[in-house]
Amino acid sequence: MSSDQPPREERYFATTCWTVVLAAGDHQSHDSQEALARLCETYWYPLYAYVRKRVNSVDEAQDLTQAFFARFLEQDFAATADPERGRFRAFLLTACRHFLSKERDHARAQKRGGGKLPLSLDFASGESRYAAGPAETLTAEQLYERQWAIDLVNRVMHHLEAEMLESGRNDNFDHLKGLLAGRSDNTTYAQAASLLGTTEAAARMAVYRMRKRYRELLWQEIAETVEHVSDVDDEVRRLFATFS
Amino acid sequence: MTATETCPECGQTLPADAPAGVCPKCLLAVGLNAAEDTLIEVSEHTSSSGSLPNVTKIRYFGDYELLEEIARGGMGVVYRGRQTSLNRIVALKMILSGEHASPTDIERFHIEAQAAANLKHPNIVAIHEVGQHEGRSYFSMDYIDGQNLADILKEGPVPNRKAAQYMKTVAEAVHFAHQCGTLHRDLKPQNLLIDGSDQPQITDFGLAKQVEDTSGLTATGMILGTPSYMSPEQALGQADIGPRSDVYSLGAVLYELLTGRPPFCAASVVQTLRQVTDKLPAAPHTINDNVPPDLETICLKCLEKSPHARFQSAHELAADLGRFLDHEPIQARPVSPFRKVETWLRQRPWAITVTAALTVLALVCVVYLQFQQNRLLQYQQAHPEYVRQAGQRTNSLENTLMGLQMYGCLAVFGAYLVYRVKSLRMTHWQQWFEQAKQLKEPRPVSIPVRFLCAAVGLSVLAGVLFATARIIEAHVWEGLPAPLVHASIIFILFFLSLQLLVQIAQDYRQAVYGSHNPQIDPEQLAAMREFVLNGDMIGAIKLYRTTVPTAGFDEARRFVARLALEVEAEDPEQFAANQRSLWDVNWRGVSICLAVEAILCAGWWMLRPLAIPPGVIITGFLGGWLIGVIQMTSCRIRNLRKRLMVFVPMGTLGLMVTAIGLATYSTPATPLSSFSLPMVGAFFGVALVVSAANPKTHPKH
Repeated sequence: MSSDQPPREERYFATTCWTVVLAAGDHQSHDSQEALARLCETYWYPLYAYVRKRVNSVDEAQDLTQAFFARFLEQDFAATADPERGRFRAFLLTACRHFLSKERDHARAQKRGGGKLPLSLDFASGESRYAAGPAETLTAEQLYERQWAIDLVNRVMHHLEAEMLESGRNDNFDHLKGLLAGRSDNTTYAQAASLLGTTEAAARMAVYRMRKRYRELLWQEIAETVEHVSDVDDEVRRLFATFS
Repeated sequence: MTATETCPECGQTLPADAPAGVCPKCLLAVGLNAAEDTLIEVSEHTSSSGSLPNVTKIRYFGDYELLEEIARGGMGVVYRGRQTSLNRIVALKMILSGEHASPTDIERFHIEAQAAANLKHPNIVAIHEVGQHEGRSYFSMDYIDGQNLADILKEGPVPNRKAAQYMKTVAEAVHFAHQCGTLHRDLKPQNLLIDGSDQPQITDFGLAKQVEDTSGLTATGMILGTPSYMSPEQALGQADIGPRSDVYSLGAVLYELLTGRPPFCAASVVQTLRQVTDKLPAAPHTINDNVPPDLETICLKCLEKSPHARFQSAHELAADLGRFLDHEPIQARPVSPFRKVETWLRQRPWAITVTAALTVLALVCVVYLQFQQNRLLQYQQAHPEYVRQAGQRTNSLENTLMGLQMYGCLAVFGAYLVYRVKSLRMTHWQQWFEQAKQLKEPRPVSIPVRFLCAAVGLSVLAGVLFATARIIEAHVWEGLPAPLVHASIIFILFFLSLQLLVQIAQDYRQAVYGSHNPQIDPEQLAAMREFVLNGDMIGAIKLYRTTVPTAGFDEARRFVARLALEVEAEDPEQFAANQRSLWDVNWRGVSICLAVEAILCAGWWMLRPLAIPPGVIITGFLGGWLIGVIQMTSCRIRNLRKRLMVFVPMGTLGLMVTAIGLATYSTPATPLSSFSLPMVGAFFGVALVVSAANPKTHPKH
């Protein structure tokens, strides 16, 4: 499914998350450092939500998240990373959980992080997202997984929008995105068709193509975080389960 | 975008950060069905080759023209379609994820089709065809043009009579299915469609199980169904699911129709399941004032935890609903207070055992008392000059009690120590403070040791009974005042020796019949770990005992305690955060206990059965309360050393208070029996406070 896709500029890692983490452990190149930083910036928010739920204080949570990623960038985790264990999502969570329990034992006295973090993590927006989210009713792990899923779908939708914009079909995206999830009756297809100035059948076809492309993108995005390509379907199922 | 917006598709609350304003759950669902469109695409190419591109392409699946998707379930997706050969509109259900479907999925899908195909009933959606097309299993059924009950419920509760009517029709149809040997097992509002003539139709026999079917596919262990509408026996994963489980689900749907929400609904599946098995549903009229008492009675009867207490068939339920609709008296009866007590006792067999044992003991004492009184009367007739006054019996009683208390206590404690050391194979005294050692499964001790310890316990027990008989004699023949106070001295000994015997019996049972290293299903184990992590040890213990039916309470407790050690080591922070804090107790209960004790103190003092200074009584009861508080808090301290560090100074303090009280108030004239009062107070206080602090409420999350 993905083999015939042309590489796109906005994709920072042609390889999977695992190869980035493992490569960073092996040799200290500027590239690997940068790739790792990109990785952090892509996946930081679910971890922040997790930490925030666990420690329940804004400053402390931001501090700890910074410290965790600082440790991550120092390639402390590359040694413990083991693709055999499967999902990158689970690996990050486990690493963070261990980090938190260790940190509790012997940190507070030291200054965390060292303040030289080459990352731009937008904690202000993260905190407002956290406040607006369903943090009340979920456990920290559930929150982490749900945010992970939302972030993932968000990235895919961004890619999809960018692609459609590139090919001059921006209108299509705005009007058809609601139909992407399917299960709509004829009236909304008709509405979308009239808004786009085409026939209903054409609108249906456009949605169908859009959905197909969306699936490919989703598949690629997830394939980066799992060890085997065969795990992708299972991962989608698991992420879907976080909403039930 | 506001956080309160909901997705029109799945009803989920849209998160504020939803991608492009589209529900992320539905978007993931699209990804979930990746295989489905590719297959349809294949059919599309083969069937419409030659037609113009981009002109109304019709999607075909075999003989069926697919018109639109109408629903998605756990395993299948349902389309509205037209069967071209017969030109009729049907609903077409296909198994999801085509070639990825496991044999289990496919088998279950076919069972569903089989189950529903055998049922011809005006209120059950009929199956037309079952088949396979290009490797995908499907079946076609009647297309019902209408909403399902879940959609209708989004607008709030349904009027009472209408709800009763719907459920009566559904119950009759379910009864018909039961007669045909099919259980539905997943009745819920989503599976009940309301057609154009306002008649409910049952669909999705997805988990249906032929009553005689032995394929084992949905037999044991696996929990299938939707938690909020699931019967307790389903929630516990038990195998004996029968028609009465469907009756429960019908009751749950009726409950939701009346109140607008299912009887049990918690943040997570595990918590919901726990509520289903443990909690009583809130009475519907407390949620919706308009629910009439009769309908509430019917509804709650369906929701009884024990299948025996429910309607015995869906037909009985339908009949009672019919009576309600015809304004006739219903046959279901509201639960009487007597039944509530009975249910409470049924769940606590130990309470029955203890009550029965104490009743028998009390009866024996009364009979003996009567017997002695008879003898006294006969004696008095023969010897009219006989006067009841303190004499030989009273004097010897004092000595008996003193000796029994001292040596009896020593013997019981000694035997207990020896027994523990032997059964836990302790080699150093420090091991008393090692949690891991204490939690080891006991191993059978050698026969001489076991018999010796049991003999000690039995002889002390016999001594206690003998002394009780002496007290009764002294009371009858020599007018010993306040026999109960005397009896209370040896009550403690009675309790201790009984405990020793029970401990020996339990350990023996565990060592011989217990389940060593039981095979626990990983899912159940994960659920137990979740309970433990959430600080709900009692939930974990209950789950263990339902998973391993041969396990006694002691084994379950030890298992969960070991599990807690593991969980704590893995994630100490979360574990600590979810534990109930030391002072998070039922303070109202504790204060009520204190008040009860105070009243008892005052009452006892005013009655003055003996010339006991009030100080002794007060210190006794106060000491009891203090010990109760220590007992209650110390079990929350998980580290044994820390527990000891709290217990020793607090205990010493309690003893000192008692000693000072005794030294200040006791006089040489104070009889020995007055010493028993503080002890009674102590025990009473412990019992009261511990029962008040019982974590009845849910642990915090």
